[in-house]
Amino acid sequence: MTQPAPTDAELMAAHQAGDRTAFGLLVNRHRQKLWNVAVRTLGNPGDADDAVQEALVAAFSRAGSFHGRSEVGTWLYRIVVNACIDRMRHDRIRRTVPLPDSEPAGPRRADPVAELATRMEVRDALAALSVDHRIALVLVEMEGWSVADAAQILDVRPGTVKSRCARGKAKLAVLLGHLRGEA
Amino acid sequence: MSTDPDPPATLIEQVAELDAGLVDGQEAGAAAVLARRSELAAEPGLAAVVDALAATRAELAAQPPVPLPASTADRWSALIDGLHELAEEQPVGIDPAPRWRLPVAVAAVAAALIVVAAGVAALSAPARPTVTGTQLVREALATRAVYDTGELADPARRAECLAAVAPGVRPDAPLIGGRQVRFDGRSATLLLLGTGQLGQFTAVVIEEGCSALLTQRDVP
Repeated sequence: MTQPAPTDAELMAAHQAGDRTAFGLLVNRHRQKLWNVAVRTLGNPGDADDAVQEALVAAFSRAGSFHGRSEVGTWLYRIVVNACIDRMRHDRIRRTVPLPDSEPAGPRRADPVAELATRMEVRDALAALSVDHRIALVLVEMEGWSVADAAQILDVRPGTVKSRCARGKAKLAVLLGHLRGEA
Repeated sequence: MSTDPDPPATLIEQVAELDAGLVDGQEAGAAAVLARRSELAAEPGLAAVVDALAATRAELAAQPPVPLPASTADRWSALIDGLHELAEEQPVGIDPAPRWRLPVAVAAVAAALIVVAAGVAALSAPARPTVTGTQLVREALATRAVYDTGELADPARRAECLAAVAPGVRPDAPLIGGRQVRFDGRSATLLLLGTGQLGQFTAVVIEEGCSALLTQRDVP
């Protein structure tokens, strides 16, 4: 009988107890979604790479003081999100490098050119939003986090997440050309 | 895309807030949301706004994931390996020993962190690689086993300099590594210093001539 995979909390406990493999396993488990959050928030793979690496250093450093007051995953995403916010607020992001091709292997798309255009439009429109609006939309609308979880990651009230998503979406609707009006 | 006259931005925000269960920016119960929806029912352009917000939400949700490049994943793994190595070492009392006296494990860490710093071209670059604030941690970690610190190689001069420009750093902090760099367009020296705590270091970048502390960062 195969052993069930360790939970995030078990991996964190193992890391705190000195298991050299646990932290890497924990990161590997979340790395694609951490990358999604970073690259969509920052709009640039180089910045996303830097931000996640900074976050990994911070997470490794702070793991000893993690006491389980939040989910391990939430804690990890919060550190990555904060690294992204720090980069944006200090204007430390590159502006001209495009996102990597994100076409997954799979069925052919009906109109790949149109889909690529849409993806670029969404990226550019997100970049025009405020930091707070952008991150809320990335977490909730793009990455599928619940409002409650996003609120924990962002360390704000759920109502604040809702408000940021609503305002961000209202601006995006105009920026994406679904409505004319002031963004 | 709508061809109707432009709906006011306030209407778009109000409808978006209602979709989120908010009224006037505050969380509201179902009755309050319904009441506000009724108030807005006669607004011209409402249908277009509702459709536009739905389309926006659908477009966001339909964005495909951006695959994590294998090279990026490898860098993260190398970074984590390096952090383990650093955490297991005892920085207290480390002297700027010649490279050939460093343990094999330290050399391995340096090698791993060179991989991490690929693209920064840390150790293979010509003199004074450019370092930005965002690269500081990686670059500082990569200076382990490197002692290209110019005049700051002299412990007395280094202590004098640190006391003058970096009051938050112990002047006699053990030197773990360092190199000549360019930072914010200025010639400078990056120092990785021990803190006396296991696995904890301080990175400082000091302008040439010890004229200013350009940046300081705890590592990790």
